[in-house]
Amino acid sequence: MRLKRKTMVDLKKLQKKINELFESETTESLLEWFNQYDEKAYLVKRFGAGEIDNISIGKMVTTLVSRRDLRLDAFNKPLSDYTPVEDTYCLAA
Amino acid sequence: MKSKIAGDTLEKKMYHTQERRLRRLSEPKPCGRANAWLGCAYYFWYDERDAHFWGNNSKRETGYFEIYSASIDTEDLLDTVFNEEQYLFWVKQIEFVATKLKKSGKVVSLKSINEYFYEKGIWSDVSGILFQDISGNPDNYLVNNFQYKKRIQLAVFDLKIVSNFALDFEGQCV
Repeated sequence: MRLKRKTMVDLKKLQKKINELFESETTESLLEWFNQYDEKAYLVKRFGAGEIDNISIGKMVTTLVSRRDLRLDAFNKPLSDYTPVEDTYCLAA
Repeated sequence: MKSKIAGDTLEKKMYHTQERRLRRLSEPKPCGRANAWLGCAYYFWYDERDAHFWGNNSKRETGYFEIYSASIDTEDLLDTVFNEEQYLFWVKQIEFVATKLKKSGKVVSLKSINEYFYEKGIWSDVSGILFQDISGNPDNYLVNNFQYKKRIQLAVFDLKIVSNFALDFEGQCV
């Protein structure tokens, strides 16, 4: 017997929610979300899932620097581009 | 995969693969793999053979793996595999976001798009997403140079749709 049952997922309602989301979402804010997502994914990879929400920014930066692993601007710049001003800012965060 | 109507609900039997540990699982474990297709969720295989292939190839840390079976209430799933309307809806949303970002020079993963929708509350009324890719399992290449078979997985967001979770198989990785 072939089982058939109408799904309860309401696509019209889902589409409406998505449309409403993109009424307030600009390309810039969308990009920002995905850039932050990538940065967080990078940190989770380094520190382990589960730790990332509890760890302090200072500890992250200190550990990344100690591992010669820090990159600025979504971690695309090498450590040599890491300036003292940014250092102070990051470590104080 | 077996289906049955339980009361008013269509349930499907699906499979959850894990490394064998000291303790048996009483419920599925959320997948935290960085490359999980749809991000953090409870993953189930549609086909028992894919569950075995996954155990042998990706759950090798202890040398043994387990497969748990469960009944899945499919009522509130977004079915992008067998439901044409839901598949087209799904493709439209993924392509909308991916295209928007690509125009700005950013290429993103399916996982990140799904987690974006999840965080924004779009999937709050959806208990899980059934989706597919193509398996690398050589057993599936019965015909020359053509992978005719879908590899189907379910990402469950809400454990309420999972019942009868029980050990179905345990064995050594080969």
